[in-house]
Order: sequence, then C-alpha cells, then structure tokens
Amino acid sequence: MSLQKEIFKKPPIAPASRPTGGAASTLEVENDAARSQVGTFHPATWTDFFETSRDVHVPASDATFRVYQTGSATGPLFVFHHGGGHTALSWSLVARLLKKQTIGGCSILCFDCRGHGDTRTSDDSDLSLERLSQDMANLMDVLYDKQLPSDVVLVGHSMGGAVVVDAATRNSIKNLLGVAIIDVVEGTAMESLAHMEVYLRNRPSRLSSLQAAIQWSLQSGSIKNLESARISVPPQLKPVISDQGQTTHYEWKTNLSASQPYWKGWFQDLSSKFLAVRCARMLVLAGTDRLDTPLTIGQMQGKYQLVLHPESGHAIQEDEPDKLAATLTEFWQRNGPMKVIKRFPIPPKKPVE
Amino acid sequence: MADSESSWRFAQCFGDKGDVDDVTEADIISAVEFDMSGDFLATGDKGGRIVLFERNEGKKGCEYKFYTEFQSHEPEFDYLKSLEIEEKINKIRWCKRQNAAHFLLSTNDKTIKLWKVFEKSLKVVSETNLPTDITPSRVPMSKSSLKLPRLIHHDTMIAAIPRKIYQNAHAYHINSISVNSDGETYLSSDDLRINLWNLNVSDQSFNIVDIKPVNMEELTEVITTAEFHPSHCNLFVYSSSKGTIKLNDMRQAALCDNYSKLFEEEEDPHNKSFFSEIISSISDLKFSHDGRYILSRDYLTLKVWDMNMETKPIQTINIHDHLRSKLCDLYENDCIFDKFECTFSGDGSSVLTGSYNNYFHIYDRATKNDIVLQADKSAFKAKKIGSTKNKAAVGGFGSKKRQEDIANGEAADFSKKILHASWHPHENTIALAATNNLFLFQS
Repeated sequence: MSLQKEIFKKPPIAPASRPTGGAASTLEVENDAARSQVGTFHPATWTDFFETSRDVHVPASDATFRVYQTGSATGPLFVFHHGGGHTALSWSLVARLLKKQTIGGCSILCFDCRGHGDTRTSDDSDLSLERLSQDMANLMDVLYDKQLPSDVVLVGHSMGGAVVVDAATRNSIKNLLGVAIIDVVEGTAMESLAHMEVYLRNRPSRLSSLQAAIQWSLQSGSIKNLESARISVPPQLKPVISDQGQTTHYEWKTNLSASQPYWKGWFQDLSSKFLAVRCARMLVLAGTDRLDTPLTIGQMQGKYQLVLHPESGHAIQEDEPDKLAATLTEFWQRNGPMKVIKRFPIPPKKPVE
Repeated sequence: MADSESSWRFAQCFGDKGDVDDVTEADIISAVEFDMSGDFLATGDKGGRIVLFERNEGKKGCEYKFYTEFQSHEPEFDYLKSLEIEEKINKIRWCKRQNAAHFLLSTNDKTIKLWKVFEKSLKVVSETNLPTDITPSRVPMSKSSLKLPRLIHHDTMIAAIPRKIYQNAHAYHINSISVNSDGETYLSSDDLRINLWNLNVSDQSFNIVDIKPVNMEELTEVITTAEFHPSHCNLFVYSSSKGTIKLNDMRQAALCDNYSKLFEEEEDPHNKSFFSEIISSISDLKFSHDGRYILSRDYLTLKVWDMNMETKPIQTINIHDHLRSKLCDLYENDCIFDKFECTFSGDGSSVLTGSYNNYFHIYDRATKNDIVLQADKSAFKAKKIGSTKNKAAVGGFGSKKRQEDIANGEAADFSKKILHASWHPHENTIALAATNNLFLFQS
C-alpha cells in the first residue's frame, strides 16, 4: 500500500468492537461513527466494566492495592497483571467481554501493581521482578485466604507477563491451571529496551487534560481502540494542582524512566522460565516476527499455545479485546478439568420385584 | 448540443485494440511524454518497457510511426524488506537534444536510468586483403599491397543503451523526475524526499527536501510531485497530499525544507468532510512553458495558479464534479487515490487532463470552453466512416450535456481512466494513454 494510502486508510479512531455473545452487532452504527470521525474522548468509568472496586491492604507487602473484581461463585479465576506504565483498567474491555462470554461463569481479578494507578505502597520505586511477584502472591493470599477457586488462570501483559511467569515458577499461586502472557518475548523485549528510552523521551510529559491524553494515545498509535483508551489512559495520569486549587495540567503517575534498572531483570530468562512452568501455557503475540530462539524451538516442540493477533498493536487487550477474551475462554475450557454434564439424571436401579 | 467549434479529431491509435477485459497487465501504459521538439513520443508501460514513436514527416497531418522499443527496467526484489520492486515506468523525461542521439530519463519506483537512443550504422567488411578462396599460408604479399579492410554501411538499427543508472537513493517510491533548464542537473522525488542529481554523476546525489517526521507514526503528509521551473534553474515546486504547492529557491539554503512561496487555497469550512483532505491531494503539477503559471490537478478539479499570487488560483475548473456525491464508493474501491496527470498546451492557452470512462477534458483558458472527448474504440471506428460523422461521433459535445449524461445514466467505468497525457510542444496534438492503447488526437 502506498504511503499516501496508508495515512488515509488507517485512521487511529475506531469504534469499539461489539461483544460477540448475545447482542446483535450494529455494524451500520460503527460505519457512521468512522465516517463522521466524531470520537468522544471523554473518560469512562470502571463501573461499566467491573462489579466492585476496592482498596485492599496487604500487610505482607506493606501496601494498599486498588483491586477491581467481577465475582462469581463458580468457575475459574482469571488474575490479570498489567504491563509497565499501564493500570488494571487496561483490562476493562477484556473483563467485560469475558464475563459475557462465559455467561458470568468466571471470576475476574485485576489490580494496580506497585507504583502504578491507585495503589499506594511504602516503596513505589522498587519495581524489581521479585518484589512484584511477591506482591501478587501476597495479595492473592489476602483476598482468597478462605476459599481459592479451583482453577486459577494468570494473565500478564508485557512486564506483567514476566511477573506472572515468575510467580508461577515459584509456585506461589495455588490451583494454577494456566499461564497466558501477552506480547512479551524475551529476545525482542531485551532488544527493544533501548527504544523504550526513546519512546519515553518522546512521550509528552505534561498533558492539558484527560481528553488530550486520550487523544494523544490514539494518535501516537500506542492504543488503537478508542473505547479502551477512554478507560485505560485516565488512571495513568495524576492532576497537578496549582496553588489556587485548580488543575493546571496532568502528568504520568508512574515514572517509567526511573524503573530502568529493573527492566533487564524483568525479561531475563523469561523464555526458559515460561517453558518450564508446570501448567498450561499460552503466548498471545501481536506479530509473527517476534519469537526468539528458545520460544521458536518451544513452539515447534508444542510446549505452549501460540495465538497471533497481527492487526493489533502492543496492547492487545486494548486493541482487540473481543478476540482476546475468546482466546482466554477457549484456553480455560480446553485445559480445565473435564466437566461431565449429566443431561438426564440416571434413575436409580429399581429392585427387581 | 454539439459544439461545432471543436476541431479536435482522432488521429491515431497504437496498441492492442481488443477488448478491455483481456488486457495483459504489463501492457498498461504508465507514462507518456513528447520530447522537446515534438518529433518523438515516448511511452512507458507497467512491464518496464519504453516504446518510442517518431513523427512521420512528409505525410499531411499528424502521423507518428513506431521508432524503437527497449526494456528499461526489470522487476527486482528488495531482500531487506521482503518487497517486490515493480518495473512499472512511473515517469519519462526527455533531455534537451544536443547531438544526433536522444537522451531520456526513465524511472520506476526505485531506480532512474539515463537512456541513450541512437542510430547505429551496421557495417560489414566488404574487402579484405586476401581473396577468400585461397588459403592464407603461401600467398606472396608485399608491404605496399596491404590495405585496410573496407567497411561498408549495411543497415541502420536503433540502439538504446543505459548510459547512467542512478540507484539506491530513495527509500520510498519515486513519483517524479524533472530535468533542470541548465541541462546538467535533475531532481527526483519520492514520498518524503527530493534529491538533486547531476546527469553525469550516478553515485552521488544531494538531498534538497526532506519531510520525513522523526516518528513515522506522526506522518500526515507526503510529496506527490516535484518539477523544476522551465527557465529559472534555481526554482522548483513540489506538491503535497494536503493540497499545498511549495515553491523553493535552491540559492536560499542547501536543504529547502522551508518554502519561498506557498500556494494553498483556503478551504471552505462548510465543505469540509472526511474526504476533503484526500481529494485535495495534488496528483500532478506542471509549469506553463513561459514559467508564469502553475497547473495543479487534484481529484475533482484543475487549478491554474499565477506565480505571483499565492492565496488562490486564478482559475478553478471542475472536471468531474458529479463524483463528489460518490466519494464514499470511490474510497471503498481505492479510486479516490487515482493520480491524474495534467498538462498545458504549448502556448499555455489550453489545459488538458483525463477522467474516467476514458474521457478527457481540454479546457480553453481564454474562452472558458470545456471540450470533453472520449478516447475509445468508437473514436477510430468513426474515422473509417467519414470525417464529418467522425466529429459528431467522437463527441465534440458541449461539456455540460455530456457531463449530465455521465452523472445520470451512464455507469461510470472506473477501470477505464486516462491518467497519463502529453501535449505536443508546438502544435495542437495530444497523446493519451487509455489502459493499453495510445491515442493521438489533433486539432
């Protein structure tokens, strides 16, 4: 496609995908929205996506984590860990779709990790892999000390992927059914650490409003989905209040540049640890050329399931939440215990008269 | 109502006159250019071939005959990016004639070649020192009786050799080349950069315009054409996909990212739509021969600009305004990105551009008369019948009526379009490329 066509035919603003279960897709509305290019950049609220939101104090980590949950009495528990610089709400669309697709048959837990979103800890700067992994284990202990669901699926995006793999390796999470990591490959991540610095430098350090921030994230291409940007970008920012009490501008909450010493530690040995985890494994990637050598060999040996989302950007859970939710549901169903559903109760054997 | 003033009539057609459905992709003509004398006409096609036609002197009226054909570019493969480089000829430009040989520049997406086309006289040895039927061993020879073998002219063939190959200078697809009036340099432009070359130096070129953004994600505008001024060797213009024309003076700076003049018409905010930017993209730019006017073609209109007035064009001509309501469909089938060429007549009094359904428009700037003709099979069929019938059949119709026909009933065939055309520098003869056929019309 010629360069000129590329500019025009890939508009950043796209209407959110319709949930596949239940509601009929209203395609004509989508087209009109794209044509008129009227995107509302108004921030959205978590209430549309999760059932509860609360702050949970975890003494073992000396922290209070912001936790978003959607509960269910039965079914598996999906635990989501977001990536560096993101927040729990980056999973919002996936959470809503997952609930719909499993018809409310699963529990969902998303939380802001240390130094991100609305989580408050005593040491926000320690973003080492061990600390984050321990945080997740401690949080799970506090939340599910009474009753841990029988199946737990850990899902991590980017840095979060490294964290869940580490937690799984240490066996700190019980009843682990499967681990899914999203768009993180050790080799590629290590190589792109240099580009991360450039990206962070080019990121605007102050934004005039939440709408401007949402608009920037779409235009810069880091998120392609408007609906997701509206819910996931605002929690990443904090307002800067002037002396008169007015909000002059917004800044990023997480100082990613400061976390640079930990970057290498996140991704080192990720591939071998992932392949060694003792449960079902799945890797969701945004492009085919991103597998490194150990993962390529592992894939050929059938050690994990590889799912590709070529149309998506780095934040697959935001760009293509419907496909991701379907993939996760399928992952759980394939690897979960066989459920024998008795359609007709077998009548008790009548004693022979 | 028939426009009786139209004296344009079909003259010749080259190419496979068969059905459009069977066209081989490689035969589609992608470039047409008269040379500076008008005696030679060059066409390039998608298969990378160049065909030259020569004016047939002596015959009354305009007639061109086949002169030579050669393969200019071959398809290539870029191993680094895993991309095919098409051999399609994007532009042909003639150099000023300095001797008996012709020089022309042809370019595909990545490589520009300077071709020398000349008549080679084939000579054959007619007389040798030894008579051929005697074995050479024992023949008495004296020093004075040795003569140089005599050659006689046997035949003339037309040879084309690439004298220079200018390659690896463009990361993006080359869209235009333009030879400078100084006869020594030329420019080549791709989507984001314009390079200046010396015709004699093929391993070096200077970058004079670079609009590549630091972050490619922020790309919003590309260069669509560039051309040198016909007499001022320091001035050139380039057009962009946002509808702007920038005039640059090379004396001002080595890198001409800042313009000297910006020709842009302010858009009426009421007309703004999703497609406004796409249809404002300029597909071709031409200077008039006297260098006073600039002609620009965007999707729906032709604009004539005076070099001295940057705020708005002095004339805006609607070509196929009825397509304005169909922009959605044209966006779907990508036709909205079609690049139509435009050209001035030799004296600058008329302008020419193509449209869909093989229609083309000749617009007289003085009388504001728009002649719409069709380069089609019907054109040469009519010629056989007779010249008077010819005029009516070919359609010297008043433009308004024809346009209405198109708008109302006739299903517009978007696969048949006249994208490339050239006007003879001294007379009213035009050459048009209609898919795989070359049409010549004369007035």
